[in-house]
Amino acid sequence: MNYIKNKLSEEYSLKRMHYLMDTFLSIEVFYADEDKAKEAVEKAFREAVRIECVLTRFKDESEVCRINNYSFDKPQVIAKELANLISNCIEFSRKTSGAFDITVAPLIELWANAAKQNIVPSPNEISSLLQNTGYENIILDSESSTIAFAKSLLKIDFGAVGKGYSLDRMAKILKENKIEKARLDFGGHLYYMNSQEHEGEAVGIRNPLCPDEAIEAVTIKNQSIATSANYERNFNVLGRTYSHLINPCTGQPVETDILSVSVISDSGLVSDILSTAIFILGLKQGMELIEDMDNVEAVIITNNRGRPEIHSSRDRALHLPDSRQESAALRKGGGG
Amino acid sequence: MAKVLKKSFTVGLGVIFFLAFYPVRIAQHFYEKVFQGASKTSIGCVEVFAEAFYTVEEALKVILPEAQDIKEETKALSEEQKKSISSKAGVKFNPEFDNEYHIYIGQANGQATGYAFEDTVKGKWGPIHYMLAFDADGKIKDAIVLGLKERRGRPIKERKFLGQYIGKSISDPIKLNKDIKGIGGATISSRQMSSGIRKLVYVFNELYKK
Repeated sequence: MNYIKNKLSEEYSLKRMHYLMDTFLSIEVFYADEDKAKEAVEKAFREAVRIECVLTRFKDESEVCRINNYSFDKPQVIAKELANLISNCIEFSRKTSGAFDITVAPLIELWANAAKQNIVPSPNEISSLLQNTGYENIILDSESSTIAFAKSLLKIDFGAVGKGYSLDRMAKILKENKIEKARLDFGGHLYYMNSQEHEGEAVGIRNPLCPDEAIEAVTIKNQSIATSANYERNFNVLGRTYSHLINPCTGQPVETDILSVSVISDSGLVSDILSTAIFILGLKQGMELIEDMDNVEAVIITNNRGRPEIHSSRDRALHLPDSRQESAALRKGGGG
Repeated sequence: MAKVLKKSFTVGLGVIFFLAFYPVRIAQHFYEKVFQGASKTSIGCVEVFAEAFYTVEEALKVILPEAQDIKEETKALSEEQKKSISSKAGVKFNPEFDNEYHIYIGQANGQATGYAFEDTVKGKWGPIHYMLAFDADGKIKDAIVLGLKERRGRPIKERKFLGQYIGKSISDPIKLNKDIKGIGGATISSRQMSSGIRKLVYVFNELYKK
């Protein structure tokens, strides 16, 4: 049955799944030549494994580990690829007024330990860490590919961008291997590759209040969609629930009525960065940020008195009357 | 008189509206009935289905690429060993899947190049069947999922389908029955998988490093 269906649409597909970066990475490709497709998929997986080995903070031999251990004393020469990635990240830190920051890891660890011991970190601890973090303390020389840290406790961490960056690299490798259509899913961060002839594909966005259900659909074509949400990884300290996202500017877990942020762009890296940043910036500032950028869309779901309310950057431009009606209806419903 | 006229006019208008729009509803109702099967599979109701990604042979080629020869072993842990691993690794052994382990040992020039464990953990919607490869020193080389059960999301409210697609390719035709290819924003609970891997690291040390 499946065979006939595939035959009719003249598409054969091959799906593979690995466990990487603490989550599942699945790649589905559509192909004419099965052997070449298998080879391309394995090459893409090798690339993701390679990136994990470079970016991980938890293996002593990784390049990021070396940077974190030695960059305060003297500038370290690093690979061009990593220098470019860091420079991209710093650029986005500036664009997002510091809401996205690759140096936030010590603050995340502080809160993770606090959750384990069930104590709230003292303001002193937080402020001393805040003085030792911040992307402006990274001294990067892109031309000579060297990096140095201005603070001894500074550490860089690519946890927030590793998946997005891998998706971009894998898509590039699949394209180089003549794959025209593919669906990549890296722990809920999707990248769908399509050639010009193919239509865009509809993907769902989860209802943050009921994660088994989709609440919204978007079409993507050669684009990625990354979602930051509050429904999976919150933590409790002294009976109070905190968001797992820490604001790099204040050192505090984010307090917001945003339930989830999905960002659609043609780069996995950009989607990853902006979905985190908008969650921290909030609805108003986040939407302003998106409107200033080209080829980026966002769907923000907020909690409107226990109901999910959808704000999409495209609605603002195209469906303004509708969205007004809808929010009016929601307000009415909520009040009644 | 004018009042009566006005009233009958309103009622008449109501009837006209009813006749104009109700058949659409009926047609829609029948359409949904007739094409129920199609829309349910494509828009995805609550459905759990199994997906296979690799056969054992294919997986071995990927995770033990340098092996010229592969030896198969089946080993079991004693209750004592299980207890000690449970307390050290903080994992629970599943009586269904942890009775014995299938291990594939890749060999080249008479030397072991890597060890691949076949294991199953319970995922959110069903078992996740996977393989974990160690190099000869006991470092994890690769983890590969052979098959799992997954559940696709529930349908999106129709209103959303009709009006609110976003995304760059707005010129693309969006059809009501077009299915949703994936759902972003959350993953299959990967915690079980990480504890499964942690467990196997200890099992490997117990079986091959002592």
